[in-house]
Amino acid sequence: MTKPRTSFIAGALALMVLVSAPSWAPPITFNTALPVPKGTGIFRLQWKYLQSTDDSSSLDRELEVLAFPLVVGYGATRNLALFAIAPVLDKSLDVNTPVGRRTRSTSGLGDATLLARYTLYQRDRSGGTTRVSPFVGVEAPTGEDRAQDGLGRLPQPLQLGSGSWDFIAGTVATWQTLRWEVDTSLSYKLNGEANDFDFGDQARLDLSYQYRMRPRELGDGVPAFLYAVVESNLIWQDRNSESGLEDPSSGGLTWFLAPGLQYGSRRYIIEAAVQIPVVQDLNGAALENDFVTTLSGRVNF
Amino acid sequence: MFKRSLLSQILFLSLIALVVAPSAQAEIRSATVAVNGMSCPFCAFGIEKRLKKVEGVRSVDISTRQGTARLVAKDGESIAVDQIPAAVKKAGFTAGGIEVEVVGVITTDEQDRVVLRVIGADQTFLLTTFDTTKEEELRSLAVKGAAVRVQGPLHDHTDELSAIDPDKVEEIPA
Repeated sequence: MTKPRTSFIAGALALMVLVSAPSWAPPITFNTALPVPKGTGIFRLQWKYLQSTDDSSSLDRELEVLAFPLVVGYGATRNLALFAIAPVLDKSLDVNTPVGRRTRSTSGLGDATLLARYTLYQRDRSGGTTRVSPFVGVEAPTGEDRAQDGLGRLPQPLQLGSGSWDFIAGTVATWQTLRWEVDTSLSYKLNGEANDFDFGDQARLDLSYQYRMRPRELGDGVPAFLYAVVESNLIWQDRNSESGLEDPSSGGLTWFLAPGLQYGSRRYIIEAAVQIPVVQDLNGAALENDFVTTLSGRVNF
Repeated sequence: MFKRSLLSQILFLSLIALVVAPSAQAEIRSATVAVNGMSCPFCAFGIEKRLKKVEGVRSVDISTRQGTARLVAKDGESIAVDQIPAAVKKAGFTAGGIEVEVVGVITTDEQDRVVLRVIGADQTFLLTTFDTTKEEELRSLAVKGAAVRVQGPLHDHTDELSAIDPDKVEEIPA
């Protein structure tokens, strides 16, 4: 039973990385290359709800994850932006056990992430810009990683934290005009080992397209914009390993499409998106995701 | 003789200052800068925040459509236009051309160039134009040592002075 217990939320776990992605303006589900001005900060609060219920195995697993990632960004220099992300998580799993159906749950602070993003290429023009910004980061083991319940120690993927130091590197590019914006991001996360458990590394390719719907014609001043948003998240995760043995029911490929809306003024942004899995080519009996809903707000300060 | 000349110059400039002051307390009264790269309302916040830190600025009005920020001076103060490009850069964008509205005394310098000496600030701008009619108009005002309000784009001209290509020159009546 060890393998199913450790792998049963592997697919859902990949999404927790989405939870911790900081942003400045669009997109909603990942990072952007737009600037955080020197001496200016942003605060972002998200509400994310993930559900996985379609389990054909006898375990009949039903997973719900609520996440509240708190993000603070600060412009250290004109080109260097720093982000700190602290997710508060609430995970709940209903599963059939030999002693009947049980709910296993945990909640609290997850692993915190620190990111540094540097704008390497910038080409500004009237009403538009093109930027390319590499970023590096580290995910610290701030979340509880040895929680227990009445059935014993929670499986590692259900823990709030991984217990390991993980490293992230990538590049994000942005093309923005007054009418539309395109962002794309390529990143890799190198997961460390802790508790004799090693989460599989993760690679992802994200794409976002935003189109200004309102106002149709720009007037004077700084009118608020309403964007229609479509995002794509292609996520690959390697298999987890425990005690040096690979878990055959973990990792795989997931492709999400996420329609959304975003309303932004000069001081704040509110946004919503639903990530729908179009392709879930997961290994073994890894649990697939039904959807992920995101509500988010950002404030400049 | 020298003392008398100096005294008369001081008196003359003081008189000009008194005449101009009631109608033009600030000398670089406004400046409009093109902000390249500004394409969303969320971007405007950082630009506004940085530009408000430019010396002498009372308010900043941003136009997303035009891609510009207009800075208006505090009463009795002059906008430090030389700080504007750096402020835009710190906000993460690129400053384009700057248009200014300046109040000063029009005169000629030792090289017989028409210049605008900014009242209340140690600042002088060259007034340059390719329009001969406008050039004659400027020179006639310079002969009078007139107090004027000048509007036009600012550009680098020589190592020592910035220049204004005046779109509009308005004499301030004594």
